[in-house]
Amino acid sequence: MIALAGFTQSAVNPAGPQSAHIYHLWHLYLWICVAVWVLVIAFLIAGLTRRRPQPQTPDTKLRRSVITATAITIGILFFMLVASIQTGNALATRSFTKPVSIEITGHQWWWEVHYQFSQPDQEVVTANEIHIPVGRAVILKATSQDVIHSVWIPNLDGKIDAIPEHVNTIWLRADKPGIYRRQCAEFCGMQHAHMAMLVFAEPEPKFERWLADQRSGARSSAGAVVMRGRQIFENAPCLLCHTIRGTGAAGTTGPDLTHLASRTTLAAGTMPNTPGNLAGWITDSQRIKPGNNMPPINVPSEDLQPLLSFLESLR
Amino acid sequence: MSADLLSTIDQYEIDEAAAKRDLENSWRAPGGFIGWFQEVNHKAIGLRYIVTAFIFLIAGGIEALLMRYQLAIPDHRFLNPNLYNEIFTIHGSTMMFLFAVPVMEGMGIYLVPLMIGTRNVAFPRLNAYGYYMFLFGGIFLYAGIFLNMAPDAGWFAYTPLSGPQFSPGKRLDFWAQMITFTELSALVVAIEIIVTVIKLRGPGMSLDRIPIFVWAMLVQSFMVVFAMPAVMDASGMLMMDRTIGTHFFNPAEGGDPLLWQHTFWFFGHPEVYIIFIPGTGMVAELVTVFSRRPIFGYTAIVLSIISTGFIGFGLWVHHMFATGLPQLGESFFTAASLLITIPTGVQFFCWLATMWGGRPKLTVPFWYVISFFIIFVAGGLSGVMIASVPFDIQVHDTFFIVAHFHYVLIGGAVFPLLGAIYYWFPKMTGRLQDDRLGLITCWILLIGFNLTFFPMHWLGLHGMPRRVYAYSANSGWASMNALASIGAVVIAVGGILYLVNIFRSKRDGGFSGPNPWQAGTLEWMTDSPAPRYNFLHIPIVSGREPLWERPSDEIPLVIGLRTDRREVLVTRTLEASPDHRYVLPGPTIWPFWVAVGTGIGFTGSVFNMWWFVLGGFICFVPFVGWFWPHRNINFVPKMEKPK
Amino acid sequence: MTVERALDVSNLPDAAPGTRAPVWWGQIGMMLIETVVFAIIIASYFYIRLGFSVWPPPDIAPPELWWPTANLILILLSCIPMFIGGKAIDEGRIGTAAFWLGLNIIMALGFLAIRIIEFNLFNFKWSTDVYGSLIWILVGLHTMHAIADTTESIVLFGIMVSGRMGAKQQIAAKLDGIYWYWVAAMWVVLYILIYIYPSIRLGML
Repeated sequence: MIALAGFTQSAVNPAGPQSAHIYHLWHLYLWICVAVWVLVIAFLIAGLTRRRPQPQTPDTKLRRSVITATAITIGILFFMLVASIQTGNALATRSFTKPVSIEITGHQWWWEVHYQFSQPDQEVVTANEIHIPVGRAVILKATSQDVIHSVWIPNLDGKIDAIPEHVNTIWLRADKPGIYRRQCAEFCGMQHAHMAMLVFAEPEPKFERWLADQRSGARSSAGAVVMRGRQIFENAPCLLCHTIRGTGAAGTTGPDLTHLASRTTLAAGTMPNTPGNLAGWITDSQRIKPGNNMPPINVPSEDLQPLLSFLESLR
Repeated sequence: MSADLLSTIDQYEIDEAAAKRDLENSWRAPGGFIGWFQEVNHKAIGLRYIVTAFIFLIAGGIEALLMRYQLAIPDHRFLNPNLYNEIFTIHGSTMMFLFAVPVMEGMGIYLVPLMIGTRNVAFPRLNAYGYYMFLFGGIFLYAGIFLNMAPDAGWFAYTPLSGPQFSPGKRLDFWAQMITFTELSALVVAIEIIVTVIKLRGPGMSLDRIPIFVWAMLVQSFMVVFAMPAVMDASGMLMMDRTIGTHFFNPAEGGDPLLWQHTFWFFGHPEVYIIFIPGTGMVAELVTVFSRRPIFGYTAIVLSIISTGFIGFGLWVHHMFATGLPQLGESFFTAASLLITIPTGVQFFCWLATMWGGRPKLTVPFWYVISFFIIFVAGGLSGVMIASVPFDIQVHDTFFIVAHFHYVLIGGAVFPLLGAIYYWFPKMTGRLQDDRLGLITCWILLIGFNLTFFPMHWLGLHGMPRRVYAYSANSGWASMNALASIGAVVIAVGGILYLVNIFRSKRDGGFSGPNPWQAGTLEWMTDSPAPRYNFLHIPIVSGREPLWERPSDEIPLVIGLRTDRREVLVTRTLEASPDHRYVLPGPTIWPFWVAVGTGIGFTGSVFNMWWFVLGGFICFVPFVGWFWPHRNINFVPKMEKPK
Repeated sequence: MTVERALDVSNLPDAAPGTRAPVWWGQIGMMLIETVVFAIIIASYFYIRLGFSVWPPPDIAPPELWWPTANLILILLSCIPMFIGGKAIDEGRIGTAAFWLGLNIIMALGFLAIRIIEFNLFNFKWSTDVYGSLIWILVGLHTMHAIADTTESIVLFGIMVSGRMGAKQQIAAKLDGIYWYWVAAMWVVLYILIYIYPSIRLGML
């Protein structure tokens, strides 16, 4: 279990080419802008504190200075425009093969994830967490089932809005392994603040193993407690909203739980995935994430432990 | 001015004391409780705009302090998400719709007639109506807050979140209708300013002699005419989607949520220039007076203000760079967003040139100008950064943007406003403010502002999105947030001191006399505070700084306007030569009743659309009262056949 | 006391018509604002239209042209009495002006009556789909202006026949005419957008 000590969610710590392009542009702009600000303020201070020359500076000299300053301004702005367009072109250039294609659908307030392949039976469905292979391009397709959300992994790329009935596409690549955090970046209602996701960039073999695990139906041990827990699950209201492939649960309002135990966080990145947190979430999610669409579930205390065992077995 | 008119300038004998007595009588304020509702004098109404806007500023500031307290500590449970979302929505809406635009309107309504040498605005009753619409709009929104129907979808209320499905109830309808009230008020003021500046300028004030603040208000008013209808359309369409089932923004029936963004931002971007351009006008006046020389580059500055007004309409898509629009289109808006820097830059260079060519005097208002330079230039530069699409898609919707717009709006509009109020305070009240307290206040505000908003650049770059009611401890954002929250308290202290100075000085400040700053523009020719009729005689100007060109008592004057009724002089548009005399109405209650009728119609239609129609009927009677001609001293007999 | 340099304006008239009058500029300003209101909605119309491959949407019946065209002709014709009345105002012949304004009012009321028929001819409501929403808002907004101007004309007629026509009211009457021409001109634009444009697209014209 990974303790969420200090997360990486930053635009100034690029881990891939897209965010690196932007970061370099940012540096260029930063120095230009600092220089301009310093110059303007220097002229201001000088203009206010210098000893007045006798006779006073003639208007012709002032005019020359203003025209020069304007010309320099135009030059700098043009340069910045060119730099911006070049960076934009670099971001839009797609020169890769065999990208991983992931469709991310925003919901109030969680993320539905579909890995798309040429063969439908290869598809992977999960929620609130994605894994990507280091060094391989990833195409993200962003859309929404309700209001406008925004998909943004600052360490890897800029953001793209997830708009209902639209599909917006960006591509990115992680060049370093790591865990990158992202959260929704377009105000989407009550729990916009708690709609995050962890992005695991890992070596190719590890990624393929993860995909294979996710592809399968629910695998859980056959222990008695776990079986009892599964029974409780199938008789509870849970299956109205959630899917666990391999059981009778096929609800689509809430996240897919087939491999819940493989996920690092709960409630869209709100808290670590521990039995205690899971128990608290099930019995009263409104206390943790007020306004979210999951009602408190009344689980009799003798049923809670088996249920948790079942859910924690869904690797 | 045409030669034949100049030739009629002569020496005349007039009974000044009688004229003064008559003017004071015909222009006197309506008395009593009812009298407040009958007021049509531009200074009274302008002051009402300013005071009401400041009350809303205080409300918005309290909302800001609440938010900053919530964000000072990670996972803070001071405000629940519901309340926080309502508060940031109301904070933005209050500051943008109920403070920033109305306060600039109020300064314009107060100062423009004084600065162009006339006695009132062109349509005094309409002016009163406009103020009541603003007041009612603000009361309407805050009534909604107290009735637990506060809007909570952000000050720009993106659809589908703000639509009927995801924002049930009346919250967003209160928001949308508040916009209708306040935008109607803004349009009224725009018409007033445009017509007043075009037709009522004193003789000799040709276009190239109009004070720069007046030019700024004129350009701003044209921008209002073209921008406000867009937001009225947008909010109207939103209300219709929500109440009568239209589908403008409903993707399921062919509507488009992005239509809301386009329509809203087509208004929203010009809106910030509507707020900023009057600020630049104020800066120009302050730089001129306190550099003790005429402004350098008058023509360049005026052309820059005008081009900013035009270009400002071509930038709106830069608010939508993350929505997935085609790259080529977005690049156009990057270019336009960079282009608009040039006219603003030209203004800055001309102001600097004025200071270099003059003898600057570091008064309190000038310190506000210095603060404006420090803050706005930084904000403008962060704006240049986010004009670039690749950079913007990283920092869009983060605290970097929050930092940017506070730098440009507070730096570019509020600091000049505070300096301008200090500067014109003697003209408004006849008293001088305390300079020492004024300086200290300015520095506290400057420091507090930067302490609050500079860290937000860092927060945005380090991944903190906007509009989050809480963040976790291991984000690393806690210390910068704490710093920002401390800064907010410092700003509050500065704000309190600013108000203390105003109240104390109004009561006990030194008497200022007509022209304490030795300024050159016309408003400083008349008494302080300005009399109800502004000028005993309308002045005739022959330059940009009339009081610098010749002593006050040598300025040629207009005589022959009747003093037994409210008469002003209408002049021709370009060179301001006298054309005819124009009778203005005196105090009347009808604008108030029409505003009440409109208010009933707008308020009711939030609950049932038929109130819109009913409101029209209710307005009909006071409308007729307003326009029905009655035989009084304002009655003008039939016109003769034209020659 | 002696005022050294003064310009005496007491011989200037105390009212002036046309562009010399401040209220003329106010009226033009108001009409400019309302034009922008329509322009934004028309821009929205085309923006939405871009998202459709079939326009108007398939469930919309082709528009019937008889009544709308008759109404267009009526409103254009109604500008004639307004114009003649305006000339009479210029010459100070208030009685004649009242007659022609009355004629305009009758035609305007006829226009509004036919407008009700036009609404009934739409086979869609504002809540049917986005096309319906756009058409209803455009025609509805235009109708509001027609009602407002007709009301203003009726009030002015009342002022004329009650003998209270001062110079200001003469100016206002001319402006009422300009407002009506604008209402008519806006209808030409909207008529083309709502009736001609879909008919062309549906291959009917």
